[in-house]
Amino acid sequence: MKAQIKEDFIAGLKEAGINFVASLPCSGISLFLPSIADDPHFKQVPLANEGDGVGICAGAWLGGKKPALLVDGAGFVLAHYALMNITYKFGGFPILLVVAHRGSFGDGKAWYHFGDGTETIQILESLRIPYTIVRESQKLKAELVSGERTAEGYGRPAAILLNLEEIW
Amino acid sequence: MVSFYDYLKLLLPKITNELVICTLAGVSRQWFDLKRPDGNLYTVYMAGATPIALGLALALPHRRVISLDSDGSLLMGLTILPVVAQQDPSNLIIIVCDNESYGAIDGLPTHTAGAACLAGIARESGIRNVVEVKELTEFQKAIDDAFKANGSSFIVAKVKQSHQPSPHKLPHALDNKFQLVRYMETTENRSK
Repeated sequence: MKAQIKEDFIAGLKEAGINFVASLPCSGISLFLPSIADDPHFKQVPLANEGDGVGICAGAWLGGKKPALLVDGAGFVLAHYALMNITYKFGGFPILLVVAHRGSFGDGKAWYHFGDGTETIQILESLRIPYTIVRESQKLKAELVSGERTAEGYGRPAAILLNLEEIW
Repeated sequence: MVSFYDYLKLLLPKITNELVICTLAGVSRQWFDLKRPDGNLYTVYMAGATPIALGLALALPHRRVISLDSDGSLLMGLTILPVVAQQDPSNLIIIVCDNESYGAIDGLPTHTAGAACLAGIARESGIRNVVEVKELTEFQKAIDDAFKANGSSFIVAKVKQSHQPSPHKLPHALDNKFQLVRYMETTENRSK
């Protein structure tokens, strides 16, 4: 199951045209990172702070790349400041946000993520960032493509929240 | 001690098709007085200029990108420095206006007024070409070296606190973004 999800994720990013990935590991996305790092299709930038990834992705888009930011919920909360600034000052940049949504409904065993799992939704809605929650792995690839189309079409970030228990 | 405006006047003749990303407040206003609008992004948020410049530099390895950052802004986002060091694009130059103060906040001191040393932090983060300058001749050499360096360059320009009066109003960030997008389309021969 995990191998199939990983394959679908990489295929979805490629089908979406994503060719630049900034990331910081967490339990919900670490499955994908080695494959991205090893694939010459992607330029991968490992981060030390998720907020930096917002600026890096904005710059990459200005430079002609199609960027994605892969983070966990705590990192997404940390990136709120940068997302707010690119949204309110610059009207946004098309960045596909892929957020591991631990601490969400039903994820009681990750009680320590309850705060960022809950606030992630609040931040997305306060910044008017379009998002979808992926709970079924067979929909993952199509949702990644839809997410990129949303970001590029609206000229602002769009988010995919991963609620895939199979990879936690 | 030298003003940042005097340093920028030395940088200006080096600019042909370079892209310049400016942190907010005085740094943006001073660069805007000298160079506008093509190829520049002004009034970037605190801790945002160098990340955006890094993303641009990685996306366009054939094109030089300059981050005009400041001590207050960079201190808020030091986590970008090991990322710059790891990526190490030769086309990235970071110039930090270090006036040891929050210029927009009545000049209250930053930590570089105390024991903190940005050049030391950058060097220990792994950035290859790091220099701190206090005089115009030192700055001239530093930018000349940076324009032909292997690996990213990081220049800390120690400056006196000053507010260069500007008769010009900075563009709104939204206008500025689209100006830059159009400029990139033209100069990179692509359409969005």
